[in-house]
Amino acid sequence: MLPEKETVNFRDMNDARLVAHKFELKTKEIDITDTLATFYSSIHGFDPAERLSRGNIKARTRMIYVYYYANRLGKLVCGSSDKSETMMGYFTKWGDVAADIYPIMDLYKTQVRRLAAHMGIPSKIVSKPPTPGLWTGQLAEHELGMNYEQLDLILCGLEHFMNPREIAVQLNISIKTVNRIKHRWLSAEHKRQMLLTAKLEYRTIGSDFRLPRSIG
Amino acid sequence: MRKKVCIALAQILCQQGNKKENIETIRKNVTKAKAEGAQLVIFPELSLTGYVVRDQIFELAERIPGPATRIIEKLAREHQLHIVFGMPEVSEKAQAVLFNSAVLVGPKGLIGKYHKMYLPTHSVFEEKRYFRPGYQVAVFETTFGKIGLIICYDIYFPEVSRLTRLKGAQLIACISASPGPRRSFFETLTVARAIENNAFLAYVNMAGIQDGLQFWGGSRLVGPAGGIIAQAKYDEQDLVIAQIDPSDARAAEAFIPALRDLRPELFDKLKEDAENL
Repeated sequence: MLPEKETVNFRDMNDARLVAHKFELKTKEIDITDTLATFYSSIHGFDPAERLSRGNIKARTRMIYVYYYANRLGKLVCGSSDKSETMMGYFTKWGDVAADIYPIMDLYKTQVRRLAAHMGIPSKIVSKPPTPGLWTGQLAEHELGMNYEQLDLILCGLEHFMNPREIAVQLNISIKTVNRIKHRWLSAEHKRQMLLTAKLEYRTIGSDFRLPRSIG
Repeated sequence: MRKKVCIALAQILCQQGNKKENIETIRKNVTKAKAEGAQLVIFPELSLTGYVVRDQIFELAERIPGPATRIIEKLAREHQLHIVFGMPEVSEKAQAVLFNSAVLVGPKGLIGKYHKMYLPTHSVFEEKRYFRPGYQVAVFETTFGKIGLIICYDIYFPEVSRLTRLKGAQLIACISASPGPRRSFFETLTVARAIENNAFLAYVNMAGIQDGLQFWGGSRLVGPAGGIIAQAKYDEQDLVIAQIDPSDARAAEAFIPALRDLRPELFDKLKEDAENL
C-alpha cells in the first residue's frame, strides 16, 4: 500500500487492509509523498498544474516500489488491470499496468465486480467508483465518459466482431458513441503492444520472433 | 475388430520444448497403462514437445522415423502394446517444411503417421505459420482392428472422420491440444463424429497451462451410438483406461444406419458449392 498526501483516503486504505486480511495476504505500507516531492523538484521546469504528466509519475513511482519487493523476494508482480480499462488504454504505460501476470485482464470491469461479489468481497468495495488515484476526485467513469455497464457492452460487441451500427441498435445508443469507444480502443494499441522495432534483420524482436515464454 | 480392446487415454502435462522430459512422462504413463491391461495408449497432439513452442519448433521437429519415434517404438516393443502420440515432423525432402503429425507404433515398430489436414490459424492458433497441411487421411491395420488418426481441429470438418471411416476405421483416435473456451465444441463434436460414423472415438486432450493457454483435458472414449464410455478429469493430468466392445458397433449401426444411408451423389454437390463459397 503506497499512500501519498494528495490522494490518500482512509476508507480506501481500510478497504485494502480488509481484502488483504480476508485472503491472508501480507501487506506493507510506505508513504511515497517525499519520494514524489523529490521527483517533482528535481525536474527542471516541472509544471505542477499539468496533472497528467504529474499523475503518471505517481503511477510509475508505485511501480518502482512494487518491483523492488518482487526482486527482493523473488516473486512476480500481479497486475490488477481489467479488460475494460486495458482496451480503453486507460492506464499509465510502465505504471499501473506494469506487471508480470494479469489474472483478470481478460474480464471486463462488470465481470470483475461479479467475480468479486462471488468471492465474498463486501458490496461496499465491489460498488466503489473506480479511480486511478492520480489526483483528487479523479473518477474513471467520468474520464471515460460513460458508466462501465454500458462501456462493457460496447466493448464486448467489438470483441465479438459486431459492427458499430449493430451495437448501437442493440444498445439503443448513438452510433457516434460506439464509434468514439471503438476509436479509443484501436488508437491505444500502441500502449498494449510493446517493443515496436525497426525491421532490419532476419528475425526481429517484437514483430517476428515468436518464442514460448517458458522453456521446459 | 473382434475382441474387446483395452484403451488408455493418457492426458498428460507437457513441458514446453523439453522432449526428454515429455518422453519420460510418456514412458511412465505407458508403464502404468500396461499394468492395467492397456493394448493401446493414446497421447495428446504435439505431446513430444508441448503445444506452445512457437519458433522453437524448427529445432524440435524430427524426421519420422527418427530419434523420438525410435524411443517410442522401443517402448511399444518392451510393453507389447500400441502407442499413438503427436510430434512436429520435418519433411524427408526439405529442412524447414514441417507437419503436425500423429504417429502410431506397435509391438513390431512404426506402423504409420498422419499429417494434420486442418491447421487452425485464428484466435490463439498460428499453425499455418509453421506447418504444411496433410493431404491424406490415415487408417492403419493393427492386431485389434483398423484405427484412423485425426488431430484436434480436424474434428470440426466431418469429411476427415468420414473418410477414415469409409476406409474402414472402426476406432478414430483424435489427439488434441485444445484450450478451455473450446470445451463445449469438442464435447459436442466428439459425440457427433462417433454417431454419424457408427465408430468408436477416442479423444485425448492435453492438460496444464502453456504460456497462459490452459488446456482443458476432459479426454473421452465415445461409443458408436454417442455414449460416453470413459471420461478423464478436466484441467488436470489423468490416465483413464477403459474397454471397448466391438459388438456395440453392430447394434449402433442397425439402430442409426448412418453408413447404410450415405448419399454419395451429395458429395459432388458439396464439392461444387464449397468451391464457390
